[in-house]
Amino acid sequence: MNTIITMHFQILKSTNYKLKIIWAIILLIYPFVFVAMFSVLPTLNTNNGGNYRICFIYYTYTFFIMYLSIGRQFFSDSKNTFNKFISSTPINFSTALAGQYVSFLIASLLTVVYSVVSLAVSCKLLNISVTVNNLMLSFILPVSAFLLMASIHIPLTLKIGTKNAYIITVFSVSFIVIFGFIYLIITIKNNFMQSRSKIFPELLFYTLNIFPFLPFIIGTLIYIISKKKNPMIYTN
Amino acid sequence: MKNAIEVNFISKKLKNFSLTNVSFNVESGTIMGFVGENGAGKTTTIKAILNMIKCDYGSINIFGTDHIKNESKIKEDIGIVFDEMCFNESLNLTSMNKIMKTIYKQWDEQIFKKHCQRLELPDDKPFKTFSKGMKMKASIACAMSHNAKLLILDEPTSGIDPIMKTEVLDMFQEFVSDEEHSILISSHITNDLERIADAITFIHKGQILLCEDKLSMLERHKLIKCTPQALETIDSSSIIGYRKSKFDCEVLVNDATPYTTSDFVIDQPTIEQIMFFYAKNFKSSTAKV
Repeated sequence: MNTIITMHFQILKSTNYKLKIIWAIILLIYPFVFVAMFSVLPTLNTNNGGNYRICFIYYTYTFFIMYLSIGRQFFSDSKNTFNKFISSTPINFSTALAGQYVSFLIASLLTVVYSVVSLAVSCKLLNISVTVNNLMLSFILPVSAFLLMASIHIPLTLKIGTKNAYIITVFSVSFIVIFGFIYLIITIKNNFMQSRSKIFPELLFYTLNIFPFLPFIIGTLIYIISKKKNPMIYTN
Repeated sequence: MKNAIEVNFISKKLKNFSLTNVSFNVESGTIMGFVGENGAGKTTTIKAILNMIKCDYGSINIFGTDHIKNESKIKEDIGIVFDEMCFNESLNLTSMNKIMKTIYKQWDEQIFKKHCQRLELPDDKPFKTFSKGMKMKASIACAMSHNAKLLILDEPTSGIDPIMKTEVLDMFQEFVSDEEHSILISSHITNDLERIADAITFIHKGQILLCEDKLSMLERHKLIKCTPQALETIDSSSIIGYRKSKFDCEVLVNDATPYTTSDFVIDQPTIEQIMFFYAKNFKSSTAKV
């Protein structure tokens, strides 16, 4: 995964447009390959739990890649430039921040549309039955995690007061906790109705699937703690 | 004469550095050179002026009004160049023109194109392909194209080649040709300031050591070259700083009239030499404390 991340950023920084186009094509077709790959695994094809898993892993990785492609570009690259640029203009900082959020949401929405369509098309082509309900349920946690990461990144990388940064962070954490909780309750309830023996393996499975996000979450927490010790970083 | 910027006793404590009672004024129609070594507090002061950091004490007025209360209005009339370009590197000058048009009410596309041509900047290439000097020139072109009354420039000539630097300095001088426009230019390249600045403010370790009209500052200070024995005869109250070797001494004084004998050679110091002796004196005086 680290190799992919490193490669991704090397390609983004590169001025070789052919390479960028090839990489963009790989990112675009990967969802289809991904679903095809999982559909051939015997435990993950037709049963309901399998569908959940397909949807869940699919969304997790789609948003992970989306985060790499859009989120990092938007927020990390702007750390040194955006603050200075806004400070040098008559634009109100809150307006600029709102603008960033709106741009980010538009980009997210486009990716979500692409994710849902590509997953539905892949499943149709491969004759895998995925219900709308499954699609939506599996969608909540990765989206929450993605919003959490983005919400933490925005206040940390842009110049807003320490107090506001923590309010946004607390809001984001509450967001993921509440939606994650709802998601798990629904999952458990559904599985109770099918088979009690499946609950704990399912829970373990979903918990393990959060791991792709862990480096980012831990990294962000370390960043927050270091900021707390030295809030001057915000103003420098 | 009106002041474009009034900085009144601002203080700011940071982790390893603090600004202490920084005060100076930039008069309308003048170029103020803001000099100091690396880490002296030039950029921090500029950030305070632009409300990028909040001061612990003191006040700042721009065009006679509080710089925080009227920030948006004030920034319509200010052109800013930071020590490094603050535009997204994937953009080019054509797209910057479109963006700036929506930001500044008085953005003048014709002036922008004229500046870009004068500074020999390609308008279709992304900024990431620009050299450091080209990025600075692009920032300067953007800062000077919305009919600003005040330019705040942080190391604007760093990375620009000598020929183009002359062109840029000429542009700054043309900008202040009427009484309405002013420039605060921070730099440690004193040669540039010697050429264009009307006044000099010297900051050292977060404190203002000197703030004066350039001509009177150069006129007041003299550099005396003498032997170590002759140094003993110079009135210590007029000595700002000195550099002593085994056979000769260089002494910066603020009154050289008593030293016209053959024991003393009197020279005109450069801004760089004045800065050096003030900093040296500051160092020895703080060491004594």
